[in-house]
Amino acid sequence: MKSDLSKRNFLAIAVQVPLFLSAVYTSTGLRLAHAMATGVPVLTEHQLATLTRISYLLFPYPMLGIEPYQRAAAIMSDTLVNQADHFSLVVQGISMLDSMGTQPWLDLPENGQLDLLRKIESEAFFQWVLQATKNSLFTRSEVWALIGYEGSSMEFGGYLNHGLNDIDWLD
Amino acid sequence: MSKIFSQNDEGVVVVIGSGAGGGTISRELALAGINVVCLEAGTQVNHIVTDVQKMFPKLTWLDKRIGSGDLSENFPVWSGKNVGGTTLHWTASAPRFPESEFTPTRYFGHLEDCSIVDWPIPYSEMQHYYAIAEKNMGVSGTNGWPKLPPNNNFLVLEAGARKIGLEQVELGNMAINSVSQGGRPACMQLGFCVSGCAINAKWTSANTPIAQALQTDHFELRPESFVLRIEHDDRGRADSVVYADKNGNLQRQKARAVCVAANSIDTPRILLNSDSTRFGSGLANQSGRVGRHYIKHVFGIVTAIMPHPVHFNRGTDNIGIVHDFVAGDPVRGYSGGFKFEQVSFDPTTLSKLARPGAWGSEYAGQLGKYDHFAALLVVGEDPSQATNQVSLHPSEKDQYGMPIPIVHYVDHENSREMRKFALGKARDLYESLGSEDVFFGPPPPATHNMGTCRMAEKIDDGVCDPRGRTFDIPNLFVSDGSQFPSSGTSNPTITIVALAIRQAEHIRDLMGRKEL
Repeated sequence: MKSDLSKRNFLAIAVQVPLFLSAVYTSTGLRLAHAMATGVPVLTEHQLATLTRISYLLFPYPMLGIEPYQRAAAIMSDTLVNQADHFSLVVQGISMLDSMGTQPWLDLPENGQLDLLRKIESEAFFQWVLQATKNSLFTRSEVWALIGYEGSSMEFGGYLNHGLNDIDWLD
Repeated sequence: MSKIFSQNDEGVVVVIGSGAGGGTISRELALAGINVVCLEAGTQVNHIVTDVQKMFPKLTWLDKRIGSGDLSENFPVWSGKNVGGTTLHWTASAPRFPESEFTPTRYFGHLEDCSIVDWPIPYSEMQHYYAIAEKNMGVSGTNGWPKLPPNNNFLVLEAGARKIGLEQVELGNMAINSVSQGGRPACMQLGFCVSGCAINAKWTSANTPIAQALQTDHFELRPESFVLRIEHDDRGRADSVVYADKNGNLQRQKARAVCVAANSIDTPRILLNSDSTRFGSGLANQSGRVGRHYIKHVFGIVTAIMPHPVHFNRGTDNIGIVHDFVAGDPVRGYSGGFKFEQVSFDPTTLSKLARPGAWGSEYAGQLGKYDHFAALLVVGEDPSQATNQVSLHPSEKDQYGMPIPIVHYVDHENSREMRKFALGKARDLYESLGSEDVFFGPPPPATHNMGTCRMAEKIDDGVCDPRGRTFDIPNLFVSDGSQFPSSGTSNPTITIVALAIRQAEHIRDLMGRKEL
């Protein structure tokens, strides 16, 4: 039995990372070139790698490989281009993580990384990354396949004749 | 083809909002030959896809609202902003209020800090309008239409309920076609009911009453028209409505009468923002009750990981209902009643609702059993408290210069006790079937929003009379769930529709007698 009734943590549906905005993954090199050309702030390679690792530790599904988590970090980065306040939040959050241990957070062993994440889990930075990771990760088809979500049923005519009430383990 | 009315036409009824209330009253008046201009803040949504996260920003009111008390600060309520209002998002659960819930003073009257009034309408009269509403909406389980079939999530709910000794489990009446009728097809059990319905098997205000009104010569729909205030003449009668068009330019539509149906947050917001020299505290607010008595339901989300697959995403979201606790029993430690209603969630929403703050390998593993989840929603009666209210922010304004609404809500002690009891029973229900884990999520932002311009027998108790006509302004009507005196335990939409049909008859009669 688990129970979570914390309202503070219920950022919920309200915190919608706008996935409908452009979320094209571009390489760090291209990002930096773009940043230099336009003056738009972008995350550094270190910051992207940190977000990628945090995303993985939030919802670790090793069988997915690293790409979905890199993608989550890339979408966060793209979102931050239009959100100056959150950009600062993320940059400062990563900087804070790096200063909390004896070495940069990314260089810590997994247990050390988890310990520090637990220490900052009530921080706005952590909550922002948590919601952004949920928004990104759980909308991916390979995650759906892994966890058993069937997605759209329109293509096969709905569940009316496709397992609507096929449960067979009830008495 | 839609009619176009002049903004200077003083003969039109202006309806604010195109949801269940606004769409229905527009249809009823237009079919009776009364000219109507409907102002809708949102856009027409023409392309519905079976993807919860993609539809969310298209269907949801995301303009700023501030929550306080127990509510989420940045998303206090969940309502729609599109042609059809919240009926694109609604689950289509269409139960009538039971008769006992029209007299809440009988079981809530003793509660401290509450302001309970009964419905000032004979229940027998409401039955007549419920019957019309069910026919107009194509409610399965009525009028000879069969009920929709059970799905796996229902079968789990039913089996668990039986195991713990409950008896009143049923497939609910749904405003979803079980057979093709009304120009709409039969349900294919796609799921995704809360994201619009891709095939229009689900009744929405957009696909039925608004569409029917558009077929008449007496109706103009103006989407992307954001109403800011209602103005009145020297006699104190509403005479025009000011709104921002899609370019942000202010427009003014003359009116013979005004029906406000902007949901229980923006209906009082508009009235409060319509203050004048004559009506210093806002329109229709002589009682001081505009915005007060905000009620929703006593919600609780219960998700459970069952021992074997359920696939709770399959089919109609909200069809299973447990009625055993609708009749209250003070022995349980609270007054009033509640229902269990089955629900399901897509993976993103589940990750936010099951254990909102959780993360890490344990939670990833639990969410990894998505296909094993079953879920239900507790829907309990909320005792009306005057201090739960919608008000205007003293300084913060939106892009049109309209004050941001503040929605304040604190659970009554009775509600906390009710929720505690209900969650315990829900846990028993799932554990009786061998669930691996049961999670209690926090109450979600309410889609059932009511009470903020409530009806009453006399002006001391409410904003509008038993037909939704405001006590202060004889040609101003409240036409949505804002007029509810109490929440009951039922999803409100069909009652909103029934009241709108009844109110339209009243307006027609008043006009026939030259009293409006």
